[in-house]
Amino acid sequence: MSDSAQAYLLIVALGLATYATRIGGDLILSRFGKLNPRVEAALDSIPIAVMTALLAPIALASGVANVVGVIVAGLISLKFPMHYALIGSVPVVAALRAFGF
Amino acid sequence: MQVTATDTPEENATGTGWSGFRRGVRDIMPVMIGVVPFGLTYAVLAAEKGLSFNQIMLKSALMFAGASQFVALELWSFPPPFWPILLAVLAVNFRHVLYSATMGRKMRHWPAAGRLFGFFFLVDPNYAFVELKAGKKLSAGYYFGLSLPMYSGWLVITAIGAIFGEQIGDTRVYALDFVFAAYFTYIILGFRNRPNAYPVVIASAVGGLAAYFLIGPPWHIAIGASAGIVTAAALARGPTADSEAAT
Repeated sequence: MSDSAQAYLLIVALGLATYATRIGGDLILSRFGKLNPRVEAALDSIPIAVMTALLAPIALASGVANVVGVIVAGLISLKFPMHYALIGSVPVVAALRAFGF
Repeated sequence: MQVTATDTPEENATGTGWSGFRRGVRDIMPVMIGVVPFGLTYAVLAAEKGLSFNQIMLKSALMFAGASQFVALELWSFPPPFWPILLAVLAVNFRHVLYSATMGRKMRHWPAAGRLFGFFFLVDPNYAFVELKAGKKLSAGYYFGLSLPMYSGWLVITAIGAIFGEQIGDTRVYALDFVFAAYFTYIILGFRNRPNAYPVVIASAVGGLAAYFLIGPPWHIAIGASAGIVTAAALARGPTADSEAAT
């Protein structure tokens, strides 16, 4: 098989694998009827748990600028809609990075 | 049954049909700013790795999953190692299994074909908005209002990056990559009234950071998330214990 055909085959496989993860959870869960409340609690925690795991190294292990930026974004988020948090924190991070942080 | 911790408990909280669609577009637009540097960087790196324009575009069109597209690129060579790349992509995308399990509960009223189509667009921002705003029944209008700009934007940005490539330079200077961090911060804080939100955040952050340093990415996502989810299950209280004893 040529390099190019192999690359296309892999790209299609990656697309299928990604799609499988996107329907997988629902296909499994919809087989069950009423869920145990402990399972419900676990499911309800998923957005917080996954997003925190994604954010933690970006916020705390990627330089001082990001630490400050996350604090600024967090404080704004307590009171204001999302785009204020973005507009308020991104320039702070850009400025800190420009000064070498 | 215990009251589920949906932040907007009404059904169809975002409106249905066109009004839901417009609401979805409005919600997703600020996030699109963060997609720009992400998509550009992906396409520039992919071109540097020697992928053709068609391959770069096909990957964005079929995968539509930024983080895992980057991971696949890091491992890419000629010929590309099939199984290592496939496994790495599955590891990064495993979180979608959890997303679809939770989001599917809000889509029981969708026809099967609609669900199969809709899940294709299950990316982090869409999922976060659905969880934060959509209430108990997700309206198709709102969901596709989030999805359509996201998907078409991803393809347009990929194309621009693939065509203009090196002229774009280092986008890190403008700190646009930070848009995602700010956005995740906003989303996590939006969930702070859910039961046991604080212990879950602490467990996920500690678990994620530990895995990040001890094992390395992308495993911090799965390990950190598991730490938080197990914490939530362990702390579930109230009528929980009784009904559990009965099952």
